[in-house]
Amino acid sequence: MKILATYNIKGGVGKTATAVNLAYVAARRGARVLVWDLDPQGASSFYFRIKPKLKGGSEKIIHRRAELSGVIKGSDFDNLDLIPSDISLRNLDLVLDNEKKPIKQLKKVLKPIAEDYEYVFLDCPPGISLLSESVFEAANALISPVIPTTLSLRTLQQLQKFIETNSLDKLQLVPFFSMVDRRKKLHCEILERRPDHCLHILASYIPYASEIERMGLERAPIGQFSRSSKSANAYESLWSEILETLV
Amino acid sequence: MKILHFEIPKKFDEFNLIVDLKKLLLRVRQSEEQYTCTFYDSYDWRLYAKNLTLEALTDGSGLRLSLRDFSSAGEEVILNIASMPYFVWDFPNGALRTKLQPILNVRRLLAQTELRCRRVVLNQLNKDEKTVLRVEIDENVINLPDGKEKRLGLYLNVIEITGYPKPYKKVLEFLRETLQLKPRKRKLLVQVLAAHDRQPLDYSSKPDVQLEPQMRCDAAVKLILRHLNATMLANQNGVLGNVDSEFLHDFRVSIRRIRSVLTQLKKVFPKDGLRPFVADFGWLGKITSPARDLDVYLLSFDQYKAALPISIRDDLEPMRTYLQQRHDKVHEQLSHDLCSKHYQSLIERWQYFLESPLAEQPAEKDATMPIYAIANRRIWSLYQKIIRDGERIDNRSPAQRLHDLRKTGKKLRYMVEIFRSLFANKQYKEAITILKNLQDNLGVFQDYEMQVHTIKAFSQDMMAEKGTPVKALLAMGVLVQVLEKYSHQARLQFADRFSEFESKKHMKLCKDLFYDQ
Repeated sequence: MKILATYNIKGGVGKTATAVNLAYVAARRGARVLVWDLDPQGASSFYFRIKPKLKGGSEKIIHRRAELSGVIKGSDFDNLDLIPSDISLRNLDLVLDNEKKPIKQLKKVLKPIAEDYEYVFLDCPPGISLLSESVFEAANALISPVIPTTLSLRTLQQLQKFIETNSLDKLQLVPFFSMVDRRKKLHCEILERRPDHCLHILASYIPYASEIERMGLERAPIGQFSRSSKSANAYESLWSEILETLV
Repeated sequence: MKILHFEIPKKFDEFNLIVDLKKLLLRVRQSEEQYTCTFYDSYDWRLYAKNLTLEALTDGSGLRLSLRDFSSAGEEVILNIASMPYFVWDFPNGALRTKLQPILNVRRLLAQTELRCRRVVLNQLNKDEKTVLRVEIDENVINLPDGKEKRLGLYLNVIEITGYPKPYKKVLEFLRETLQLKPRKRKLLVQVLAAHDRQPLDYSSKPDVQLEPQMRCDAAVKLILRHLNATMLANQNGVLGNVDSEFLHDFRVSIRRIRSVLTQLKKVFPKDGLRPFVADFGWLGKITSPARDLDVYLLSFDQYKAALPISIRDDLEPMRTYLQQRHDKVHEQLSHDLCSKHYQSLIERWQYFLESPLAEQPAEKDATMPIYAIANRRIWSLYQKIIRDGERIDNRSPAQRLHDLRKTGKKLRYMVEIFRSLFANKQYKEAITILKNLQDNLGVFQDYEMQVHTIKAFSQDMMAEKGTPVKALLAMGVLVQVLEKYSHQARLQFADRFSEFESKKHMKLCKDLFYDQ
């Protein structure tokens, strides 16, 4: 099982769209995939039309009084399941803090389902918190959407530094450009010139596109309602490149 | 994902059934699909033997592969793909490939049968328009060999969506209690094949011949030979088409078994009548050897690479190209030989021999003896020969002695397998396991020895050819050293394996089974 967390300190960069669309592509290619909606906003639950409700709240899962398999919901798509969000996730940091070895809890919770899924996508809320650190401990890779602007690249560098400083040697940082608007000169410059500190960013990128925004109307992954669109193809290419990159 | 299947009796009308279900499910999205469903399995039904069926559904745009496991509540693994992969290594990495790999190994998936399906889908929706249950009503149609169509009737599939057990239970309750329907035990594949007068597992490479102990020996031997001949011919087209390497393997094993019967039981038929066939099948064994050897080298190639240090693994690739080129040429020659007049004549004469009636008063003394007596005599004699020859082998013995022991072991194994129906089940299994352990060790030793010799010959050939990189030859040299080491390890294990074979316990078991007082 590979655990991939869609993560960025910044909000509104396309983390949920990434988790949902990559999970869909991976599932269509035959992998058994699980998305865990860790954001109390519940956006990926919304896209999959699954009620953002966990019986007993997220606390019950962390305390392992509820089996993870008992809260998993099948999506409308073959091979693709979801652990929905819950409003209790807003307090997850407190729940984790009350546990011994708080940052190791998420990994332990996922262990029983390791044989059931090939990929688990963790759709993470923005910011750096105890939950984020738990995600860093559990994940094999951080799939990080980055808008091609100076400030976003600066934030990426901060994340890189955090990983290095905390000796998270097994965690692979896999950034890619997201919401790329080729009408914007700065986006084009960054995309084409790729300053030295960007060299590790994937070549595949996701365009800023209205069809991605339409996901909220369609409540489905983009591959479901707009299979031959540029954006859908972009996610296919992105997933292929991520697979080649993963250690 | 749980799935249950129901066969709908003729008294039910599709339209009314859909109306009733929609009343029960309330919020429903109905759609219709039309597709062709092809059932795939290996020639020897490896998937079916493990309670699996593989369906490829297409509506003209891509394929949906569905592997169903009937031993675990109908669990299903699904893959959407552009075109059909026929070998495991053509599948993308994922759950389906992982499940198929240990079962199929090198066997090609073949289309066993197909049907056309018109499917009405009822997706029960919740208020978010999320599917919480899926019900499918299938009307299946097959094309018969005479060109006519046959309708197989209506089938209903109920698919539980993970995390939504209540709708699933509600529908099952309705089907069981209101409509009095029971889940179908027979797999759809079985029903489709039955409509073509076929059944699954209609081919097996194992010599499954039912013999009565008191049967006349010549009658029993002809029965065995007809069975082995049928197996050989069943694989012929697969060999000619080079479909997968197991066709040639099974073809050759049948040939060896036939030769073994002809030489081990030679006092059953007139010697002059049998002699040409012994030579003929010897010829068949010889002409099929080069192709089989190259199949094995190509199949082992990834293991060869894995045995080398990482830094030089890719240097071996020119050897793969060389093997592939030789393989293509050799298979072409084999196809030519199997289409030759010599081969056709062999098959015709052999068929004539097999179909000709038994002599009423044969001159050969073993012909009218009961088969169990002759079988026991031969098998016990071979066991004793293995013990005698094996005891003479020590660490200093030349390799040829182990190769000869292996040949005797093969003759014994074929005899034991062919006459299997004459022996008690549990003891037979124990005896064959110990024999197999010895044979495996001898096989590993001989195979590595031969590979060392042959790879050296390949490297000489490749050196004579222009363009072979030096590092490829160096990598082959390292490979030869590795294989020599493996061969030596197998040689060291021989003593233990033989000691198990010649143990008092094993010998008592074999005597009880095969020694006819």
